[in-house]
Amino acid sequence: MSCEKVTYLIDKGELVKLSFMERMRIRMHVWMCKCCTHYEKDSKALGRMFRRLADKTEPKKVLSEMDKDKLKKAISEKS
Amino acid sequence: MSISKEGIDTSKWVEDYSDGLYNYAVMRVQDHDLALDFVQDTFVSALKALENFQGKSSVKTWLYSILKRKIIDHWRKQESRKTRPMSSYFSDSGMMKGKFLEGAQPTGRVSEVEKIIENDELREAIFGCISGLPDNWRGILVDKMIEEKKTEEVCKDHDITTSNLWVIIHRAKLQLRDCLDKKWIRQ
Repeated sequence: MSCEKVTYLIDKGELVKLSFMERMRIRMHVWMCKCCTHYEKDSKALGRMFRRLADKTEPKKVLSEMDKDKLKKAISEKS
Repeated sequence: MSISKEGIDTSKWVEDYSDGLYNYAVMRVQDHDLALDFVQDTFVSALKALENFQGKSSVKTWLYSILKRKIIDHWRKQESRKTRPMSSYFSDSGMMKGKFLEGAQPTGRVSEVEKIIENDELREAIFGCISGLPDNWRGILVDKMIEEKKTEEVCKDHDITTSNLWVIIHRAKLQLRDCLDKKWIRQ
């Protein structure tokens, strides 16, 4: 199986449960391939980074009063 | 703006919903002015359609659904950005070339940097790379990977099949990995 296919399965595996055969194929390939070993780690690292972006403790952006006034004005003009 | 004949107080909409709507939009379009325009259009459309509002969902949910539709329509209208061929993410100089791997191996390294980079810097770098994704990929990636919405919901919103979703997420991750690698691993 090619690296292209294996990396696809690795990413898919982060989202759904793969079949036994698919998991075996990944393990066999990763065992022999340094690049895909790295890719597997990176795929998980990216997943963690995404989750951190969604972290609700991060301050959300708040619109300035100026932006809000602009919104109010534009809305009252158009409606 | 005041209380409409439908009995909905619209005068506080900006105060109550604009920050939330703005955050939703800016996450997906990565542009302040454009996001603000979307919020404005959402309010205007909602006011015009107020009499059609059935009250089946909350005003908040209704406003988000209008915004969501507007962003997706915007992406559809735009010509999608050119995407790189898959082969560009794989090198063919690997040790086991041709033997088991049928040629190409994925290039780059991201997991190492994760440990080193400060949180804020990492956030900024990722957002920078996410903004470089093709528009429709970005929306799908944000919905599925960052907001962790259900697969069925994401597929329905973006009108794609489940296998489309796996492929798009995979390609987006390849591109992000490549971007992060170029942006600051090798700087």
